[in-house]
Amino acid sequence: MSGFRRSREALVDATITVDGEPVAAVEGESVASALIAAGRAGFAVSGKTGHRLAPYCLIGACFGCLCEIDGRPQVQACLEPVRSGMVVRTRNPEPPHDR
Amino acid sequence: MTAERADLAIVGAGPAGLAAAATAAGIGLRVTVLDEQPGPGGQVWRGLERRGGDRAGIDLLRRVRASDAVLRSRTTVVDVGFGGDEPVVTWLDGDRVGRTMARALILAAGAIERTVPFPGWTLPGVMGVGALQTALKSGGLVPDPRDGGLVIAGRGPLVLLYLSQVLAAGGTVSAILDTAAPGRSLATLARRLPAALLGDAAGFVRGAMLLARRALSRVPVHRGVRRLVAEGAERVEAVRFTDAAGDHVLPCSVLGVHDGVVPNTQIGRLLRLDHDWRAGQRCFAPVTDDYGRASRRGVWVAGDGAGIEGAEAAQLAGRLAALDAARVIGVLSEPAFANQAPSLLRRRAGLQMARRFLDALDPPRDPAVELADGTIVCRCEEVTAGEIRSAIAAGAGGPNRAKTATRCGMGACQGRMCGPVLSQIVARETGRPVGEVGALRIRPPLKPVPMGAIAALATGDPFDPEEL
Repeated sequence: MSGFRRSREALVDATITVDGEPVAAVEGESVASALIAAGRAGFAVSGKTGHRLAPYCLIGACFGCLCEIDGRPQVQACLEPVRSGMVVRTRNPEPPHDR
Repeated sequence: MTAERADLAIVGAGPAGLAAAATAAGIGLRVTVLDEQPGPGGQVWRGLERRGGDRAGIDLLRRVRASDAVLRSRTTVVDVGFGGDEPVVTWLDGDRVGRTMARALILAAGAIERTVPFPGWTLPGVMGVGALQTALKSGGLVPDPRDGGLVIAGRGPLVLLYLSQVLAAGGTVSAILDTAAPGRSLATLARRLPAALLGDAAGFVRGAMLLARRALSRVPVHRGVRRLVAEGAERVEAVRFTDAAGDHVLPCSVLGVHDGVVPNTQIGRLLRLDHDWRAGQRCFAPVTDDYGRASRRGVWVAGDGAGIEGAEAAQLAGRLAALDAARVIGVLSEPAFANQAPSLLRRRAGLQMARRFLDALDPPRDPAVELADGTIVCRCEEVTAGEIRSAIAAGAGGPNRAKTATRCGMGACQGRMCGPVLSQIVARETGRPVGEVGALRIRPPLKPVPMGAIAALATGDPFDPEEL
């Protein structure tokens, strides 16, 4: 359950790999948007409280969407456009499944 | 490392930045625009090149593209300093670093959504309404009505605009929790209304249409909503709130929150520009003159980054800053400047009157008042209001000392989200005005920089403007 679905106009034409699993995406949308659509809004688990960290602003300010993209660490996924074949690693200790 | 020289460097490719670039390039200045988003347009015109959109935006972008101006998208400014008298901007494009040295710098970094922490606001699924709008524009994401769907809790024009956009895209909204305070002074509003109407008649028509669309949509609206609480285990599952009728709980799978926007002051703070506290908009903004000239020579600030006035005023501000910069550089004559500036100033003054009316209609509230001790203020370091208040009680009399004591503002976002809240907590706890309490000190780098890029800056070809 992601809380979102794609509008009729959105053309799902790309696949990226997130924590080893394929995720359908729209070429050119932000990586953060693709992860949110796939129900992976928890991008990391806090070391302090164990709470899930999640994106909040989607414009590059909150840093809630930091992940590793194609080997580059600490990338703001909201500023990174999807290209098919991208490899994304969230900062979760185990791949999350929201439900 | 790329090193380049320009007459004018502009940070931000939204309405203000694009207008400044088109104007300056038209006068014959060499312009470089640096923007961290995937494409030009800023937030209000997001996806201008990919999806089309606003006619004024498309026209500006066409003029910039047709000129010699260099437009660098996906380019993040990590530091700004001075080489002698001239601004030097250090930026990062993926793993590549570069420097742009210019005779003038226009900061057009726009606005970010105002942060108002409440219990549960860090749960996955709780997002700014601006973020929901971005997800809609970026990936066509609309709320899924299952599990309660989307509840919007907020106020202001963006809530109405997003509602209209998401309904047009086939989405559904379960409820709107209007957090605007009831009981505004009608006399004040009536006094401001005529000038506001004259200043931005088109804006009032747009606003009326959005209000009508909300009414027609039949989305239930709760008014005078207070005491928001987001609840859920792994993500948001429900929102609890209070209104005149009592306490309520609504299930939801996404909770959109919005309390207006505030200037993004990160670069101006890094440059130690003078800022003041704007009580009417409850935000810090850089001190500038009418043309956007800031407190340091060679630096202008234009658009919402200089105080919230909206996209149309931002274009006028961008043009004014570009004209003034061209005049200061010596490329534009005084008569040519005097020929163009006054009409831009007049149009902008009208829009400002309309903005003051909107500000008075729905003044932002102090986020420190309802803030419970257990609520997280700093998302990155998970610091609660109670921890901050304890530090203040133990002698941390300013935001920077409270940061040192608690780590609030020390995380990855560098206080972008929590900084203004922290200042307002300190002000409330110490009984001092927010303007006097001040804000977090911002230091470089503005965003995380890979070690390899830092090494390239340190050991790569030394930056020598004489060679360019």
